Parts: sequence; structure tokens; C-alpha cells
Amino acid sequence: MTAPLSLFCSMATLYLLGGVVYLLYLATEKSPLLTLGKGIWVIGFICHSLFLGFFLFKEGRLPTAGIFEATTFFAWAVVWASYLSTFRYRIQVLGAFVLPLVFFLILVASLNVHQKVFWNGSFSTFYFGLHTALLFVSYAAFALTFITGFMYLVLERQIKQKTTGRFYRGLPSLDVLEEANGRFLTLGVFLYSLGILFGLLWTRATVGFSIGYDPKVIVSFLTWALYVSLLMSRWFAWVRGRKVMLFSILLFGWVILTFIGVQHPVYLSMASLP
Amino acid sequence: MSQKQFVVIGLNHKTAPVELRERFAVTPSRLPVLLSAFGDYTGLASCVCLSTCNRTEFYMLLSSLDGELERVKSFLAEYHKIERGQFENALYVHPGERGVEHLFKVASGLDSLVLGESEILGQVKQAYLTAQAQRKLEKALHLLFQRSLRVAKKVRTETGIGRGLCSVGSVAVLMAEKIFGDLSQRTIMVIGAGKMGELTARHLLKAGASSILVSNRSFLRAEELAKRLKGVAIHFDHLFERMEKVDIVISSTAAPHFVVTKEELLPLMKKRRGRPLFLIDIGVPRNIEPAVDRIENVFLYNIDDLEKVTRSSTLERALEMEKGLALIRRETLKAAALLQAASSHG
Repeated sequence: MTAPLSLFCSMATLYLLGGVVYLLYLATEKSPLLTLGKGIWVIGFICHSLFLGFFLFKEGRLPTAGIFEATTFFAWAVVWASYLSTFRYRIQVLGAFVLPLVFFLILVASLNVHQKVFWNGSFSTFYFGLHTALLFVSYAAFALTFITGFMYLVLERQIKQKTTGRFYRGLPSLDVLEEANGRFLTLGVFLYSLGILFGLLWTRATVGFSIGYDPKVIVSFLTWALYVSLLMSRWFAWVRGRKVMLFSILLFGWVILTFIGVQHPVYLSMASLP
Repeated sequence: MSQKQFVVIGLNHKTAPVELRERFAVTPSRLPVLLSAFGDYTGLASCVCLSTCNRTEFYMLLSSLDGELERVKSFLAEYHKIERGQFENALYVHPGERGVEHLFKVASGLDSLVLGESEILGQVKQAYLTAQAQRKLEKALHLLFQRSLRVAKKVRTETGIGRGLCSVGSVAVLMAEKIFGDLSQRTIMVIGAGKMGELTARHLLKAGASSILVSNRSFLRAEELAKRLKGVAIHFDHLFERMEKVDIVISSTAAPHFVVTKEELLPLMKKRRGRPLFLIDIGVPRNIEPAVDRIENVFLYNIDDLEKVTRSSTLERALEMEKGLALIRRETLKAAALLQAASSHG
């Protein structure tokens, strides 16, 4: 790790603190807490961006190699995409769900800070850069399908049980969550498809058109197929509500598992990299 | 002449579940029949019966609390064809001052499911007028109901009990907004042409709902309500056909059976392609089969469920309620003195 450790620690602390403040807001509904939470979120994001900026400046590449780099970058994409989404959907309490997830990702990253990374010249091409950037943004969109799905299930349960619990007033309507989930899913699938396409172009340019039996590639196609099935079921079978949200959550769990899995030293030592 | 005592006997949402309340509910059209049967059975000169979705209560003047009260209970069991053991625990009896205070609280909405709701005042007035038309009310009873209407208005004007979320309609709007967000593109269907259904629909229209369909077994009444709400009347036979396109259904019919069942709703939800459906059942007996709530994307709220939601907002009006109760206690003392004078003079 070459970028300042203090920035990394600051952003981790801020995300944790921000998450706690948002949860306190949900419990007490005191609006100054919402403003404070938003402020902490923004400062955390600035620290995060500075940390990645330092990395980019020092290393001259995107931080996508190994669990530490990739997860930190993934967390950044989630924070950025979530913050942007608040302008469209105005989900005031989004931070209460995003920040704990981001803190979890940062925690996973920090546990792998000393992992050795593998990087060769072929990774520094335009196609590879585009491939990884697109995949990370699509993961951020999938993270948002997970968050909106989770919020939907919480609210739907409260409405069905006729209770107006802690999260009730802070959460947006089921309709808004349904729409947001659908749009994030569409965006995620589109970007993921493009990411895979550029990955194929990069493979063709470096080792010829042969993807072999690389488990990473198989997992990527499986993930793509699962998300496309979910999208198709929304579009053509009109599956809505609880089932879709449950699948969004499960699929994102799968994404996290495979994301960390394919970056794990055990896998990297086994996989045949070009 | 022995002095008569004012007594209230009844059950409400606090003492009886909806399953029991619906067995005692009496529609306004059947109220004269009940009052007539009540007089014949008990031999009491007059009585006011207040029957809403949340309560069925009898207000009367009794000479003896034991014998006459027993006859009233036996009448309830026989008239509603229900064993005494099944409802006696849910029954409350408020004699004398307690009864007066209870009546004032009921009329002011302080004993309502939705604390401070205003619809009850109209229902108390209607119950009083129906009883008055049936048999001439005893002077004390007449004075007491007149006074209860005045006290209720005073409570509403002198306290903030009526502010905020305080009616079935406001709760319906809150829930609809939690499901659909913006209501501006939403269509409502009202089943039954009753007052409660109309009031709830008006709340939803005020909150932005764009169109309204009204269905009733009597098409003429459906047309009348549709005209008042600037909606469209539909034939009862086309209910489920038209329900495919609506978002919110308010049902408040006096039907003794379920008007909407799970069996009928399952194929409808397939046709709706999973679009959420919000069902508000304010009918007692219930109009919508409770099992429909288990269908995905269907959200059913009956009168008891609405109470659960309103509990959260009840806290905000609790302070206002204290003011209202203090006012009622003062009025009760005045009324009790008046009652004593009136009942001793016949």
C-alpha cells in the first residue's frame, strides 16, 4: 500500500460513524442527525476519493488487483453511485443502509492489506481498464439493487404486519423502491454486459479468442446469466415485489462471494493468468 | 315513582375482536327493527342504540340494575343468536355518572379507535334521531343526548384533539402513500354506498387520487355516490372485471358475507401482473376475506388493522385528550345533576 494509511483509516471511521448517525436518525427522527449523517458521508467519500487518487497517481493504474485494492475501489463505486441516486430518488435514509455495507467492504479490504498483488503489462491496456471500470460500476448498481431490495422487504413486512416500526416513516414507498430496484438492475445488467464484452475484446487482443475453463470467466458468465434472468422475469413475466427483491439480495450475496473469491490468493495461485 | 338510572351497556373495539363485533353490528336500515324488538322484549320505554363498525351500545334508563340488565343481556343473546357465554366477558356496563361520561367520550371521539375522529359525532346524532323517531325518548335520555352533541363540539373546538391523523380516511391515505407513493395516477374503487366508504374515498381524492369507481348492489345508489364523488358508477356484476385496473379498493357494505374472497382475487392478481392492490375493509361484518392478505402484492387493512396503525399517532394527541377528558369530567358533573332532576320527574 503506497497511499496514506491515515486517509484509509479516516474514511473507514467516517463510514462507521455515518452509519451509526443514520441509524440514530431512524430511531429518533431528529432531523439534525440526518444533516450530520449526510455531512459525514460526503467527508468520508472525499477521503476515499483522495486515497484512491493517491493510489492512481503513485501506481499509474486503477486499484483493481487483489482483495484490498478491488474491494476498496468497489466500496468507492458503491458510495459514489448511492450518493448520485439520492438526487433521483431522494431516499433520505439511504445512508443507513449504504454506509454499513461500505464499512463492511472496507473491513474486508483492511483484512487483506498485505496481500501480494499480481499485475502485468497487459492489464494496463485501454480494454482492460474499461472492462474493470464497467464491472465495478455495475457491481455498485447491483449493490443498490441489494439495498433497495432490503428496504422493500423491511417496509413490506411492516405494512403486512400492520406495524409502523422504527424504519417505517423514514423509508420511501414500496412503489419508489420497486422502481429504483428495477432501474438499478437494468443499469447494472447493461454495464456488466458491456464490461464482459470489453473483457472478451481484451482477452482476444492479449491471448487470442480463448477463454478456456477459467473459473473466474465461468463465474462471470453465470452471474451475468442470473442477473439477465432476473431482468427478463421483470420485463416479460412481470414478476414484481417480494420475489424480485429477495432474488436481488441473494444475487448480490453471490456477487460478494465470487468477488472476494476470485481475488483470493488460493484462487489466484490456481488460476492461469495470461 | 322510583328514580331511574342512566345505563350504558355494550361492547367495542377495546373489549371485543372484530369477529365478535360484526355479530352484534346493526345496519342503520335495520336499527328500527332492533329497537322495536328491544322494547317488546325488555319492556323498557325507550333506548338509543349506537352501532358502528367499532361498537354496539345501548343507552337507556333502568329502574333496577339487576333484573332489567339481565333481560337486556338475554335479548342480545336471542336477537343476535349467540350464546351469552361467548360475549358476556366483552360486555361493559356503565351506570350513572360513568355512563354519562362514557357517552360524552364516545360522542367526542375520545373513546374511538382513531382517537379524536369526527365521524362518530354524526353517528351518535343519527342513533339518537332514529331512536327518537321510533319511540318518544324519555326526557332524561333526550336531554343527555342533546347535551352530548354540544359537549362533543366543545371538545373539538377547545382542544386540538381533531388535529392531524384522526380518521379512518387519514390512516387510509397514509397507508396508500406508503404503498404507492404519489397517489395522483391512482384509481380508487368504492364498494358499497355507505357514509364511511364515501368519507374514506374523499380523503384519498383530496390526497390526489385521480379517478374513482363506485359499485353497489343497488346501481341507483352507486350512481348517486358516483355523482357526489365525480366518479363512475359500475354494475356490481362487473366488480372484478373493473378491479383489474384499480389500485385502492374501499369496501364498506352491509353484506353478511365476504364480497371479495381469496379465490376471486388470485386470478385477478395474475391479470394485474403483480401490480399492488390496497384493500381497505371498513365493513362490519368484514367484507373481504382475511386470507387475501397472504397473496403477494395485496395489502389488506380491516378496521382493527387501522387501529394498529393509528396507535403510533395516538401519542401526539394524548396530551390533547387529557384536556378533552378534563372538560368532559366537568360536563359530566353538570349533566349528572340535570339527569337526576329530569329522571326523578319522569
